[in-house]
Amino acid sequence: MSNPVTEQNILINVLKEPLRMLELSVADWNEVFREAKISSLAGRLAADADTLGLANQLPLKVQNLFKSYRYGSASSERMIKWEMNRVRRALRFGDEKVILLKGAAYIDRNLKCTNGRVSVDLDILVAKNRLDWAEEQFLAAGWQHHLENDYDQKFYREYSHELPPMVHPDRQISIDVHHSILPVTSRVYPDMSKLINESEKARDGFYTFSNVDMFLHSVVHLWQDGEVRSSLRNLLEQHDMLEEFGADPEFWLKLVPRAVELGFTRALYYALKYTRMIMGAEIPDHVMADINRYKPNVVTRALMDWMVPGVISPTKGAKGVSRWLSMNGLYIRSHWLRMPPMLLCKHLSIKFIRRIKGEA
Amino acid sequence: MTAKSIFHKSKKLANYSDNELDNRLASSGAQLEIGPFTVNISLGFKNIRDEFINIYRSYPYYNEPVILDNYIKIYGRNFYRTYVKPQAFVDVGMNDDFIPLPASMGMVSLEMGLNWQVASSCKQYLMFHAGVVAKNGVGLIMPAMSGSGKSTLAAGLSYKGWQLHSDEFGLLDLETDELVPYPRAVSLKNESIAVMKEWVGRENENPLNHFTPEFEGTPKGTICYLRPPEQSIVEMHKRTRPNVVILPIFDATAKPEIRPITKTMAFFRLVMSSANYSDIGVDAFHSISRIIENSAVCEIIYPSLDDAVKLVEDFVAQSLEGGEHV
Repeated sequence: MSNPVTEQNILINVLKEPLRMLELSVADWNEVFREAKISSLAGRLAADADTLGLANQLPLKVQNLFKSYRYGSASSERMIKWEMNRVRRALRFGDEKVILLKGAAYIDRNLKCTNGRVSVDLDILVAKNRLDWAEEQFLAAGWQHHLENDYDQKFYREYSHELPPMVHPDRQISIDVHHSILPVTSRVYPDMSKLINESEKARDGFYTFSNVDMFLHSVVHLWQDGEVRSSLRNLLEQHDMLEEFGADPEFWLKLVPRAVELGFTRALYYALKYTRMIMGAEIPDHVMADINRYKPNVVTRALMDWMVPGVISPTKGAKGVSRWLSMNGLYIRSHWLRMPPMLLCKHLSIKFIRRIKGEA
Repeated sequence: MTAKSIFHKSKKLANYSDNELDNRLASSGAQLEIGPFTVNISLGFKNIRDEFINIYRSYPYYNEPVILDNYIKIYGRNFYRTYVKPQAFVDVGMNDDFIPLPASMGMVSLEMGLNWQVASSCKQYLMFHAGVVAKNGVGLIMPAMSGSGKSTLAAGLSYKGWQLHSDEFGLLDLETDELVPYPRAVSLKNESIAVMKEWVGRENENPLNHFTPEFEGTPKGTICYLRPPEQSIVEMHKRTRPNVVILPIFDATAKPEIRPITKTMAFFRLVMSSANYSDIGVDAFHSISRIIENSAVCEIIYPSLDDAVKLVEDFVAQSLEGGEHV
């Protein structure tokens, strides 16, 4: 089961089968770069070409651009690793579980999705009752809050799942200290101790989530908390993880039961459905059968099937009114899932008033 | 006619009349080549197209599709922003929001958009925030902060027989150690505008033809763009190895002077001027080390453009005679 909209997307096709780079026309390349740049995937294309040893068979201009993206992703990885080193020093943690999330965790595990990846921030997670300690340590080591506005600060502390972001003035990477993987106001709120207990030892005293939890974190980030549009990179990341983690049959046995335990079944349903539909992920039938028990009603399904493939890529897919409806539909959906209606009204009103007053 | 870029060797260059170029810019865009970069430009406002064509008409354009480095589109976002209170909205294709300027300053938006694209995405060349010019095998890098007069000095030298590489983006090929010309319009600010108009007028009959109108009240004060000399446009693919590094300091009250500096100091000034040094990492370190090893270096302090050009040419001549480096 594939999708007629994304089937024609050249970037998606090249990501699925990098050998196709050898057949692209000039117009195809322009389309691929245009989409890949917005989706932060140009570095990935360069890395795929290198993995397959294609680079010197490509047009000279492509080789020239790939060189730039190669430096860009190598530099990003170097900066993240250095920031991890600085975090280790600032927190001086011993037995404390400081868990690397997202990009930093993928780098620690050397996952496929780090190939050519560019990350601009570092995400870590500590138990909620260790949040104050972490913030104190970072501030003492020279990090600074970069959101000055009182409302923003308060909003982060009361409703979100992380501290307001901090930056060290010597470096450009923002650090996000989480205590949960979903906002505290979210419709679904997992028992974080379950994820923390299952976390595994990583490099330099850090921890990372187990494979299943790492995948589920990416899944809820996109399908429960995210806006979905222009999220090709996240979808590809999930596709890559399914391929890598899925090599171990244990992963598939644990996946659906764990999603049930944490309350992530709906998000997992979408992730499996759309990685298979759009990226061609191979998912065992028994897993699809299990997760299908948690599928939404037929109207929601039809709506999502209409919206998601149209806007997953930033410029291709749905056009005009249909794109507008899909984008706004998914935007409202993401906020609807994120916080209760009254809080949402209050939050959006405050943002709106600030905007018309000309504040940030 | 310009030599062809190595990137699009088999592609045909267009030979647009002003009218044809205007049509392309107003519709799907014109594929403009400047040095190593080709960018598709579309401009939704007539005044911006006129100013653009005056500066960029003799540059190479490709008729058939080529692989682009970037595309940039400037347009009015709706009826109100197109006809009632025209505002130049800039789409650089990178998910970045630009603060839109009034359409009358659209040329500034275009130049700033092109700057942003290069500054934020170019890592295949080592980039120096520097004026770069070349002549007879001399490749001269002049790294400096904004406001130090490096644009004026690069432009002044280029209208006195030097090849203009760039007034602010010095590019270096990391494999061949050659300076890669990127001769965009020179951006002149405030007092330097009158200086350059007088300077260009010494050798040219209609000097004002070389300039855009002066844009007052931009975020950086008054801005005016100057077309590079024709020869620099023709030679946009002619590369030179760097062998002179001069740190320029403008001081209206100073006595013109060449001051020696250590190679170590010159090394650090090049590092500091490089916007992508830390992205490129160890390769950038080695490149700059080689440049400095092979270059004569100094600092010049000058009260006027005439003095600056004389100091530069004196220092280059001295170094040539010395024969140690150049």
